[in-house]
Formats: sequence, C-alpha cells, structure tokens
Amino acid sequence: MGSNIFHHHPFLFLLLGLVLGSSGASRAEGPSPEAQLRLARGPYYVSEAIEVHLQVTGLQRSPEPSCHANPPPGARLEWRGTQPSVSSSMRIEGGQVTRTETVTFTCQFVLVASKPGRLRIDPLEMRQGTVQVQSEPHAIQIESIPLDARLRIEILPTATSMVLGQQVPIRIEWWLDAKLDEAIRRYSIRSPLFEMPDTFRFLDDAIASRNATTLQIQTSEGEIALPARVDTRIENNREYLVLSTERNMMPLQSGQFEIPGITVSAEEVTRWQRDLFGSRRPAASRRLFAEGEPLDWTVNEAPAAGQPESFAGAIGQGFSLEVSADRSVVQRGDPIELTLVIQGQGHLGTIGLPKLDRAGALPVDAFRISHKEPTGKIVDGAKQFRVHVRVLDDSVREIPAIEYAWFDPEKDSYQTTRSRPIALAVRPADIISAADVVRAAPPEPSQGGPNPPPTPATTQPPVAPGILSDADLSIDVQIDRLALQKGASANAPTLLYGFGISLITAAFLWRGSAHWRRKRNSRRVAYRKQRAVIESCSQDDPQEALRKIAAALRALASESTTAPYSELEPFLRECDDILYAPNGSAAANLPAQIQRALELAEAMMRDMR
Amino acid sequence: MSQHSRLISGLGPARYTSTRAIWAALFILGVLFGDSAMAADEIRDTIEEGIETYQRAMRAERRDERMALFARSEHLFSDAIERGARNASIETNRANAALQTARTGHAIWGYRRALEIDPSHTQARRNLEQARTRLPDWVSTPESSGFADTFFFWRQALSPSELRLWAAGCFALAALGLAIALIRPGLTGRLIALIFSLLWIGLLAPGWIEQQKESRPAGVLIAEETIARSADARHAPPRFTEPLPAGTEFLVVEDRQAWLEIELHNGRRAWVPASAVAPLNQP
Repeated sequence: MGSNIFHHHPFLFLLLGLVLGSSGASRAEGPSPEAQLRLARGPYYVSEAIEVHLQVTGLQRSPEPSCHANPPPGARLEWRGTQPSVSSSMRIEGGQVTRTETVTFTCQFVLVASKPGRLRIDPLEMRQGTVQVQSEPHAIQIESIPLDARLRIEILPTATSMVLGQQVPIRIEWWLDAKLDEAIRRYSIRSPLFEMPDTFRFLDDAIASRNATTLQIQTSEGEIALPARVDTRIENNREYLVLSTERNMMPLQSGQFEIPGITVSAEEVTRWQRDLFGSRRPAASRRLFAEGEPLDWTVNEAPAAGQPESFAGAIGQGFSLEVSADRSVVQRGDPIELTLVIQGQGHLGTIGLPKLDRAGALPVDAFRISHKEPTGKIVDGAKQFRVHVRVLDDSVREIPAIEYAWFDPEKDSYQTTRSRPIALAVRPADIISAADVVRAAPPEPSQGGPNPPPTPATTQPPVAPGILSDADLSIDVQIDRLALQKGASANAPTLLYGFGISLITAAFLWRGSAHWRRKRNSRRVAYRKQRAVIESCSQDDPQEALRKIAAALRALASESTTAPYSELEPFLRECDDILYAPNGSAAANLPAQIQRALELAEAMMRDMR
Repeated sequence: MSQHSRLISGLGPARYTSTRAIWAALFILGVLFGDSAMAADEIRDTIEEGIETYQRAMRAERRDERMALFARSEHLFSDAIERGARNASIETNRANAALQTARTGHAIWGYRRALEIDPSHTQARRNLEQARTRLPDWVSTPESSGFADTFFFWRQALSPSELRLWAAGCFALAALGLAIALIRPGLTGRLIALIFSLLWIGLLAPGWIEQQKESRPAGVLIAEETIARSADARHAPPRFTEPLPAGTEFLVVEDRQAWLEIELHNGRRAWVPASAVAPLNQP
C-alpha cells in the first residue's frame, strides 16, 4: 500500500526525504548538551555537607541556565550557585582552520543527609530556554557516625512558647572534652532552625572582632562566625570546654514546630607526624559526631481578646513612650511637630505607631492630625516617629498623655504606658473660617468656545482628586507651533508704529514747507519780471530808462532780506544824480548802467536762493 | 608705471582691511545665526521628546510608571519653555502633564500662562476650569469675564500679540490717511484717518482700561499647603483656619523678597513665603 503511494506520488517520497534530511542537518549543527553528575569523594556521613555538581556541556553562552532538583527523602539539597566556563580550541586540518567553543555550566548543590542508609539522588535538571538537560539518577551510601560522649551540643531553650513578633534570644552551647582541645581539626555545626528564614528570622547577629574566639555555624546564607565565650565545666568527672554564643530571632509564623536537633560533626586527629620542615601534620584522624535535643517550640499570636486600641505590634517588656513638641506656645491652627520616642525590650523594627485620633490620645475635636502614617526610624536604640498636629480649639491647654500598649509574653497580658502631658498655650489667631470665605460667582458661559466648559456651581461638592472627566488632556503635537518663539513677530507692531509716525512727520514737514515754497516762487516771478523790465530799457529814453531801472532794483531789494546794499546804494544814488540833475546836465552811459543793474539783480536773486 | 604701483600699493592695505572687516562681520553674523538655529533645533528636540514621553505615559499601565513619565514630560516641556519656546500650546501641554501628576498648582499656573498668551485658547480655558474644581469650595477664583470682556468681545478672539499687531496696523493706516489729508487736503484722507484711528482706539482701549483697573501681577500657589500669615514672619499668626492649597490664585500686593503680600480673589489679604508662589510672568 505504502509502496503504491510512493510509486504514484513520487514527490511525497521526495518530500519525506527532504524532511528527514533537514532534521538530520539540524542535529548536525552542533553537539547536543551532555549532563554529568559529580559528587565529592566518599565516604559520606550523616549531617555532613556533600558537594553535588551537575555539569552540562554544550549549552549556549547566554542566557544563564536555571537548576532544578528534588531533595531526596531524609536529606536536604540546596542550590548554592551556577558557575559558567568557556573553553576555545582551534584545529587546522588540510589548511582549513576550525575554531570550536565549548560552554560548560556547573550547578552547585549541597546535600546533607539526616539519617544513614542508601540515598537515591533523583535526576538533577538544568534548563536554558527550551533546552532541558537531566543527569542520570544516582545512589550513595550514607554512613552513620557513632555518637561520642566527649561531645555535646544544644540549642536552648529546647522547649518554649513564644509570641509572633517577639524577639527571642537563643543560646548555642558546644561541649567539648578538654582533652580534645588540641585534637579537633575541623568541625561543622548545622541546624534546620538556621535554614528556615521564612519561619524564624535571625536579627542582627553580633560581629566577632579579630582574634576573638568564634563559633562557626552553617546557615541558609552560608557559614557565619559568631563571637563565642569559652568556659570550663566539670560534669560526670569529665572536664569540658563549653563554647557558647547567642542569637536573637523572631518567629514569623504561628504554630507548633518540632525541629530536629542541632548537630556537630568534627574530625579528631589521632596521630601526628612531622614533615620535612618539622611542622606537625595529622597522620590519622577519626570522625566525631554529636546531636542535640530536638526543639519543641510553640508560636502563638498576641491574643485578640482584650487587645487595647493603642496596641501597634510591640511585643516584649518594659516599653515606654516619650512625647515632645517643637513648641509650647502656638496660635490656633499652627502646626506642632510631635516627636514620639518608643523604647523597650523587644524588636523595634516591626512596631508601628497607633492611631492618635482616638480616645486615650489626641481628641479629634481639639486636634487635627496629619493623615500621613509616619514610618519611624530607629535612633540610639529607640524608635522615633514625627507627627504634625494642629490645635483647633483655643481652650486646649495641653497635649494630653498618649496611651501606648504592648504585649508582655512573660506576663501573658497586655501592658499599657502613658506619655507625660505637655503644657500648651494656645492663642486665638486672626482667623476667618471657611464659611466666611465666599467663592467668586460662577463664570459666565464662554463667548467664543464651541464647547463651553461646564461650570461648577457654588454649592457643588468638590470633585474627588483624580477625576477629570471633562478635562481635555490631549496634547498638541505640532512641533512647529510648539517651538514658536517670541521673535520677529514681536517687532512687527514697533515697525508699523514707526512707519506711521514717519508718515505723519513727513506730511507735516511737507505741509510746513508750502508757505516758504510759495514765497520763493513769487520772488522768482518778481525777479524775472524786473529783469525783463531792465533788459527792455535799452530802447528807451535814457532818463526814462534809468527811472525804470532804479524802480526795478528797488522792487527787488524790497523782496530780498540780504540785498547787497553796499553796491546797490551807490548805483541808485548815481541813477538819482543823473535823473535829478539841474537842466538834465548829467550824461548817462545807458548800456553800462543796464549791465550793472542786471548784475545787481542777479546778485540779489542768488542771495534769495 | 611707478605711479600706478604706488597707487596700488597705497590702496592695498585699505582694501585688505575692508575685506577683513567684511569677513569678520560675516563670521559674527554666521555665529549669531548659527547659534540661534542650533538653539531652535534643541528646542524642537526637547519638545519632540516631551511629546513622546507624554504619549508613553498615556500607554503605561502601571500607575507609578505613568506618574514618572508624566513628570518627565512636564520637565521636558518646561525645559523647552526656558530655552525660549513661548506659545499657548506648549504651556497647555506642560499644564496637562502637571495635571496628570495631580500637581494642581502647577497645572493652574500653566493654564493661566497659556491664557495670558492666548485668551482664545479653548483647551487651556476648559482645563483651567476643570483644575479649579479640584480645589476646596472656599478657595476663591478670579472672575473669568468682566465688563471689558463682554463689551469688547474681540479681546477673547485675539491673543494679546495679535491684538497689538492689529492695533499697530490700524495706527499705520490712520497715519497714512492723515498724511494724505495733510498733503492733499480732501475728504478721503480724513475719512481713512478717522476710521482707522477709531479702530486703533477700539483695539487698545479695553486693555488700557483693564490695566488701569488692575495692574498688580498675578500668581498661583504651587506648594502643596501654604499657611497664610497675617505678617511677613514665620511665627506670625495664621490668617485663615485652613492652609491655602496648591492652585490658589491671587494678586501680588507687595513683594518683600522672601515674603509676598497677596490678595485673594475675595479681597482677603495675607502673607505667604515667596518660595510657595509662582508668578505668572515667571518662565
């Protein structure tokens, strides 16, 4: 049947070949990732950390892969980190250079078995994008170390009841036979308690000073060295060295907790030898192991019944509240900054400030409190809160005592303290009330806008902040319009005013010069007329001619303000002498007289110009 | 020949000096124009970034991201205004960004500035009314229309700069008519001068009347809460029971550097710190 199909449809055969070929080609692009599980060399013991590495070769450089593992029953398996490594190699074959890059990622885990026997490690997995690589399952044998009476370790208290949020001190004691003092080579102290950060939070571990005795313990955050005290104690006729240290913790979850005991595994050197340089080196050793009592702890919540209103999460003993104000003489309405300082034996980091506008604090009719919830800060072992209040009533004479409550786990009851009242002098202010302030009349509807905005009425309640349903919050995106600067267009009115003023000035000047121009024209006309009279005298009787010339020159002189009188006067006198000589005895040289009269007329005209 | 040489050599330095002067002048002009062109380009880039940031803010889903982007957009528009952009649209954009970040004081200040530049800007006027609704009822706001605005309706239709331009044009035409009447006495010139003089007065008189009525500079409170005092001192008694909220509009009565005496639009006067105030004429 199949052969028939391929016989009748040869292209199907070709297609299948292509698909198979392409899948083969894609596999041939690079080696598929390979996983390898590596464990520290055995033997493996109960409560001792075993390094487990998942090494995968053939992944891409990025992204960083993720590691996944299921802890085997009866053991803890914790991821500690992922380590990348890249190696390059170059091969020359037949003159062709081939460069190969190999990327290896190593997921590092720590395995701690809590009981002896065969332990099966399920496949560990590494994921990078869609690529998943798993190791083969593996089994190891966990050996038990016999308990040694020369060692003891405890967390105290072993059984107790505590309250959620309470700061609880715990004590770690490691008892060690005094004879082992010099023989212990290395040790490892572990407890599940130190690896439950979501249930028990350890607070501000003390930092060991240099050269101080320390006790090293393993936690979820790695190994930490705590300052330790060394005591000598004798028990059952055996001398012990006791290394002890303390940690403060706070339970974060309520419930009943049964926590396996703390363990210590150590290596005792049984035989020493000298090396070439004379130094002592261990030649033989044996393992020591001790396990403490399991912990049986109960964590309760602070009781809800009878919880005072002023309780704000403080758990502990001996809390106190001190209140101070930045001023004691105020005007009504003035802000007063109150500083509230809370001290006590308890964890201050989580405590808050109870509401102040309540009974037992600041009366709401006399004080107005800022609604911001102060976060507070820890200063010199006390928690400080700053609050702003305003006095609303002139009759207020003090900031009353403020109540503060906490839960005392030892007494199993709520306790209450009160701050001391602060005397206050409140003076009335020159105040107008909100009712006195009248809002302006609502605006008239807009004249120009196509959609006049709705105008809030005087009685309309204010719109809640954030509601701007009628606002048009779109923005103009025309960059040319937005980038418009105050520039040339601002100068245009100035230019227009300048132009107008210039026009008016020019028109006035033109108008002002009209009278002067008329006068000049009339002078020109007179000059031409008198000149014609003088020129026409050559044909006349000399007596008559001289009279006309003298009359013409006098007429011109009357028009001119700057006539050349020094020349004109002698000439006129000369003419008069000839005209009025007795018996007409004086002779006149008429052509010369005419010529001179024309020169004088010309001079007067020049002056007029 | 030698005379020509002397002439040429004598003219040479003078010619070179004038050439140098021309080149120097061209260089200075080039620097000035180049600088102003560069500044204009920077303004355009800043505005473009402001628009883009605002649009990103509108698309953002997380509130804190949106607020941060609106604040950034407001800052960019402010930057462009400080660099010289001066128009009602960019003032409205900046005020919109401020309103989006619930900075009512800055928003009201921005809309007022936009309306100072262009009283006919509908969006600024509408948003100003909306922003004012966010203030408590007892906060007084200026009357949006007066006698001058009602009677001289064109004041709403033209921006002050347009109004000044139109008035100057009318003055120039009136001057032309007067000049014609002076040069060639007749009815035409006088009529032109009369008509355009009346128009010129009509355009400028309302502003002048308004200025005579109120010449005090206006401003807006931008601090979240300002305690208005009865004197210019930090410990002076408060003037009102409530602190004045951001967005309260006022007129400046007296300026004493660190303190301003202001008059609210209901006639009440008080002193406020200058740091809490944004005058409308401030960039």
